[in-house]
Amino acid sequence: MLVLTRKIDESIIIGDNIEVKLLAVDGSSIKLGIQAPRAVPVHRKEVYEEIVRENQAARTAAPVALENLKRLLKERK
Amino acid sequence: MQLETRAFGPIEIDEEKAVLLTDPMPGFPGLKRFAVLDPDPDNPFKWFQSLEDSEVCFLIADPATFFPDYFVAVKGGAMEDLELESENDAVVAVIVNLGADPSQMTANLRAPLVFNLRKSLCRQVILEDVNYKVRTPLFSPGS
Repeated sequence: MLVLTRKIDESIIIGDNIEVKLLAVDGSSIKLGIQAPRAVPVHRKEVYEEIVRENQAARTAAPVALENLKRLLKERK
Repeated sequence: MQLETRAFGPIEIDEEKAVLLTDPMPGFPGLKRFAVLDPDPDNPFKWFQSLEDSEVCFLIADPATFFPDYFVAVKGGAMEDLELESENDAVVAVIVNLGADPSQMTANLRAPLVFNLRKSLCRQVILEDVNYKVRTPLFSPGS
């Protein structure tokens, strides 16, 4: 991993068009400003990982008849 | 095209119904072509089947049936990606986790699929609203 030291208001550039700027430091929290093309999604890693886990869990292993789910829906509503 | 699926055996897929993911779904890198299998238009549940890996299939649902107040704000990046001119052209589906007991199944409201059906594009969007949970029960416990 590349490790760089930055001061407040200093930034790094990733590629040609992604800038990560250190905005503020408060104890063990730091505030980052990220400027990236709109097509580049930026997420907190733990949120992204939660979606990865949920996608993998939701992947359907066994087929169910959609008909049965529709019936279940009617019973529940 | 004919596709051999683990869940349904061989199925015939209309190429015209294939959608292209503008970004792979988190956890499924490399899979970009899917089809919505929609045998019954009156059923809010549908299948979202990968055309590149026959073993990857998701149950998806129309959120309006279960969560009438659910609102997906499609941000600029996703709008651009999906070539959406208006938010009204976006069609939203939620991924359902069936779990062991269908009466306990949950929907991922935090990361819905957003479609531009006119352009056959789709993307899973991670919402910033922390009130939307990845495992929201479809049926309230008391119902």
